Amino acid sequence: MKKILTLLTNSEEKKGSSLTNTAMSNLGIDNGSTSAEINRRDFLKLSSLASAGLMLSIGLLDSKIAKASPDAPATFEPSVFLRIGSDGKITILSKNPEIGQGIKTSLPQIIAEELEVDWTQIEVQQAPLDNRFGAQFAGGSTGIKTNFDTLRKAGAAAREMLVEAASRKWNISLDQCYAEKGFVYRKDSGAKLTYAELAERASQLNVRENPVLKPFKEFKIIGREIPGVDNLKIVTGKAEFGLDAKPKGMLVAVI
Amino acid sequence: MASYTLLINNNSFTIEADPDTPLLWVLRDELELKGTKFGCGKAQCGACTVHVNGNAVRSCSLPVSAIKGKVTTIEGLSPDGSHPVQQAWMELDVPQCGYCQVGQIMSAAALLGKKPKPTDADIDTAMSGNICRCGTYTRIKKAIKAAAAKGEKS
Repeated sequence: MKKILTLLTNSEEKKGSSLTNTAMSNLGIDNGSTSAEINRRDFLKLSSLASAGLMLSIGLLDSKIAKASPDAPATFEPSVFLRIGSDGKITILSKNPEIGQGIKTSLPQIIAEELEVDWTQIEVQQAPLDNRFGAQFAGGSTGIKTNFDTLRKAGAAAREMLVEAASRKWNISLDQCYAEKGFVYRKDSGAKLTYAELAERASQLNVRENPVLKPFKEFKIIGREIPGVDNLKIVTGKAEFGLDAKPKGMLVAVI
Repeated sequence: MASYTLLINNNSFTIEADPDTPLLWVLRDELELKGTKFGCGKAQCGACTVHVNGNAVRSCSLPVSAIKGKVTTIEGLSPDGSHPVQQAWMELDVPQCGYCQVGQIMSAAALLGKKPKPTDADIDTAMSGNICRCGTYTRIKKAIKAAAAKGEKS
């Protein structure tokens, strides 16, 4: 943690975004080891930099991320946060560690809302550790606040691209199409296409950089109480905790 | 080392272990039944709760040589989460991090096995040995009552 604070001090002096990013990646790796040494003032500095760094380092709309799966053209993956397969599987990744605060359910709610799907249509997966997700940590009660806009954009960008894919397929204008619960409809006839049917076509489009977000009053998933995504695993004893992990070749030592 | 034959979740297992080996170690390390958790190792937290002949016991402190009868773990309570207590737990969205919940569920199931209509005092007594760092106690109590109410109807 000392190392991070040193970096933060440097980045404040130089106002350099690259140092901020370095600090962010260190935050993801080093957090927590000597947290007692951090005072409130430093914490606030760290948190405010964390949110600024997040926007820079995520690279949400970076085309390199959009074309992350050249060998799987039937998967639409407009950002690291979600995948839509032509097999109908919609996967949303939850970037932060779940420690009982409910983040594995609530972060995907934000994406699902803007993606315009029914909650029952998606599967939530824990994201791996990867710089493209930005900072990945728990602590400070800032997870929703700092990720809200980014995740909404991730969902909305995907939705707009699916609508665009449909409009091209039907050869009608964008405003003649709309998305609802995993389908894109055409206004004139009511005909519809599933997101799965549009996945391949959408994957060939440029990633939307400034998607239009939903007005708050149209929210159907954000603000709703949704049971924890791992509840079934937890109540059947199948949820895996650190203690349950057994990597190949692991030995046990007693001290 | 000695040989012990244990009846766990209606299956018979024969294992080699020192007589003072805790049942929890046998469950997790020998039989790979990892639903039961290690918490404190001294019967103070309830994370390791299993049933022996329908009674809630702390498997971290029960020597394998002392077991006489039928052991039930979360894997044997129901394979698919269909036990009324598990159902109530999901309906009321009880779990947070989830680490203690298997122990909580086993204690609650043992209570309802003996007292299908427990009073608040019965619940407090039966659940007093299970602690939850997330603080899910109020939902746990509601869920036990919900499971009891459902049992009454069926």
